[in-house]
Amino acid sequence: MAGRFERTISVLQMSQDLYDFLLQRDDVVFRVHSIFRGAVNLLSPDKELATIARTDLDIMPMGMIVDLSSHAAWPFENDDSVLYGGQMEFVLPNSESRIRFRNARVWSPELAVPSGEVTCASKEMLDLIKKTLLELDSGGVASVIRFIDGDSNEPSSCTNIYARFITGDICSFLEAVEGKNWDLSLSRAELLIGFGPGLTPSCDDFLAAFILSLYYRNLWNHSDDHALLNFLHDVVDLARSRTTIVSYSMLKHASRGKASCSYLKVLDALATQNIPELHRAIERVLEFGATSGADFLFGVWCIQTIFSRWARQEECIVKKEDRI
Amino acid sequence: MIQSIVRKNAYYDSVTLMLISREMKSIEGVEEVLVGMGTDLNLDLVRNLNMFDANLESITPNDLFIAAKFNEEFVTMEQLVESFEEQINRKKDASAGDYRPPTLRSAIDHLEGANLVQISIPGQYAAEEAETALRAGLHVMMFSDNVSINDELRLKKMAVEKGLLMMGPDCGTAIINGVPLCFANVVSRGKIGLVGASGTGTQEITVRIDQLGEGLSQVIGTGGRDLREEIGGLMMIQGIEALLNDPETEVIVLVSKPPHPTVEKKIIDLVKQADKPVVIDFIGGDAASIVDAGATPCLSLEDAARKAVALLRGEKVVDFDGFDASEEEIEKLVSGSAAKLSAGQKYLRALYTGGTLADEAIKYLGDHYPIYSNIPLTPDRALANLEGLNGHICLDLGEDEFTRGRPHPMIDPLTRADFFKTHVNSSTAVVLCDVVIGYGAHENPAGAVAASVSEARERLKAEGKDLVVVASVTGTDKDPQGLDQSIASLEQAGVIVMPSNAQAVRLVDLIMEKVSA
Amino acid sequence: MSVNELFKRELKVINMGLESFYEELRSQDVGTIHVDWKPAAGGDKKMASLLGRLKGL
Repeated sequence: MAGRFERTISVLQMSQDLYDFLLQRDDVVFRVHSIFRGAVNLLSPDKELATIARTDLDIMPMGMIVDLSSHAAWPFENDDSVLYGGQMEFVLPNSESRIRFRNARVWSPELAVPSGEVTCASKEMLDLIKKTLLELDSGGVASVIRFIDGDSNEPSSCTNIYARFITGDICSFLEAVEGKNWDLSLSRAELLIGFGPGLTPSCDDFLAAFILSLYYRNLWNHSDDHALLNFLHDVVDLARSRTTIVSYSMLKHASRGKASCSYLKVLDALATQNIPELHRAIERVLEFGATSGADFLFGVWCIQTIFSRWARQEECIVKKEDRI
Repeated sequence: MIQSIVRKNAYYDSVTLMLISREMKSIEGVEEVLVGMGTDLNLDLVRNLNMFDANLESITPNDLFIAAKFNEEFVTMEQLVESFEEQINRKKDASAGDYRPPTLRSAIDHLEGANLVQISIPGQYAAEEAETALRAGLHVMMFSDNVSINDELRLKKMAVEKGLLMMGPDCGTAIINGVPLCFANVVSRGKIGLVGASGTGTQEITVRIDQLGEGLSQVIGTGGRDLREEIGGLMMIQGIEALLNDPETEVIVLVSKPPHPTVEKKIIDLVKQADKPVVIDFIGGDAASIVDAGATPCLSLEDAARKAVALLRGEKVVDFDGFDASEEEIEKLVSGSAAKLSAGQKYLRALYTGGTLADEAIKYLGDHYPIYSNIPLTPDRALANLEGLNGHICLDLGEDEFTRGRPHPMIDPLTRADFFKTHVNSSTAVVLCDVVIGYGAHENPAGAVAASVSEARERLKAEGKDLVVVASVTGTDKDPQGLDQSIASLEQAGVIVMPSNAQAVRLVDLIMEKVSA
Repeated sequence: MSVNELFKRELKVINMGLESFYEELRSQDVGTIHVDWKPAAGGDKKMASLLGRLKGL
């Protein structure tokens, strides 16, 4: 690899976990797994997925954003090798190009603990999400919301075949989670993982919202609920063989509190009760893939609704104890 | 036939797959299509729909599958895969595409010489955008509905003040300077100008004029509420004045449901002053005041077209309430049709996608026998009063009550296909349909009707019965779907295709008369 | 531009809403541009006015 390159692409932003992953290794040979207009997925020999995206996409865990205009073609083809040999750069032998991350900003794929008090999402915020979903009609499982929130008693009111098929299973999953019955929740989740069209099937985006939200609730409340944490890891274990590798990686990251930037911003806006921020975050999430984004928001809406029910129950218990 | 294919390690995003399966589902002969990744649960769905086949046995979650249930008489798996590839490529091209400004303001900056804004966003936002357009001196064509009548009045007053067109809300068709807008047919340019308050009525007249060898100068839409008392016909009057001042226009046609009397008077007063011949079809309205104003009244949409053409050519203007075909030919069609039917087959099913065409049918046939409808002539003939399916039915399937979140049946033929399944049975004698083609409409509405007819025939065959189906095509040979192809695919399915809606309705009347006799 | 003035010009259309209308105009070589229109505040009127108030602070 004498230093003659047709082209050098620079990385603008890189996720902390990818940065750490590379710096711990001397050399890795990635294989190009899938190519989209906006992003390319690379797979390492130990099945870690790394994502290279253009600036108009969101940064995500194990991801980086490169300075490649939207007209320019990717310098890869499927199954090409991409070498990392140290020196803070990737080498692409087939196109005589390289991707350098020496000057990249490092981005943390996790949320910091919010500075103020962490509260449940307000009704107003939940209604904003719901209203968005009702009007969007994205085609994923998000249209199940019509059925769940009492607008209709007919699963057939869901506009697509996937949603109609899965409505019942989603409802039993919600019930199990609301009852904090984690064993039951796990067996219900098994009926959802990998279901729906696309590279991250709709139900996985929905589950990602649950996993992330439960992870952070546990963390921020210092609850250290082992049963819950086990549940999160078990869901990810199930996903390993039951869904696409891209989707499995997303769920795995979620169980460690990691997610793409706009997903995290939704949770942050909810935790800090920041409505304008929530509005912007919703727009971003939907921009990056209407179906995935909507399914994720649908998950957020469900789990946050469950949180507020839990909060009301706790309030009642506290009041009862006061009286005693 | 059930078949599937598997693509190893093929990756597409969910939106693309969703849109593509939706589009593949609309291919003639396709019952169901699923496109997705080979996860266990997706395969469960495939099994649940009885679409599993051996190809899917060894699939992994990282493989893409296309599973289809289809009628191999119409389509093959190879064609489906081809259509999949084509659409994947089209989606790729589209994403590379052109600049799309985020607001109307920046669009005005970007399109030099823009002079018309076509609005089809949800009604609650449409008025505000229309106001921005009018303020900037642009004409407006508003397809959106659910705009309040107060907003409509305000916008139309503003348009009149500025000398602009405010076509709509709920305006489905217009042809300005030869360009078809929203739902419109490709017709020759010519010397007949039209102002219409009813979408498919306007389309039917324009295509009949084209068929008769003449053309249209301008076709101005007003939206369905323009001739109500509250709006006072502001846009129809604006339109008539523009056509009177237009040197290209020699004959003017007006079409609408009967206007409010005060509005009718305003229009009649204006027509009295006109120095160009005016043909008026106030569908089912009173002819006396029209004659009084020196204008020409009509018996049907087709009749309006014929009279406008006669006036333009300086020919004698006569009423037309017959057929293009000879009396013998019609008699043969009628007796041949009646002979196909067996005892117990006595009811009419008129399943319309075009509102004005349905209106024309019910006003003609409803005079002769009771017809139940969502647009009934009298309240006691409302659909709710029908017992079971025992009675004659004529429906405007474009009404919200039937579409239930689906696109208009002129775009999405599924609504009518469903009615074929539920409402056409062994007591049905005759089915009457419209097939509206042209821009805006579905890419093959005739094929969709043909498929429904074949399916219904197949079903009745099991009971030893047949069916009579009569249709007309609102379209021209210049429309993207093609008039000849549309007629051919209907006729292949054994549908009697008449040259106009009016003639289709009259033929049905004769057949029904014969059946009940 | 009056209606009769419009009749003499080349029609140039700004399309807002259904993309198919835009595609059809383009396929006929009519000068046109499509607005990437989105409702304010994800489609919620009340929220839009609330946002307006917040921005005003």
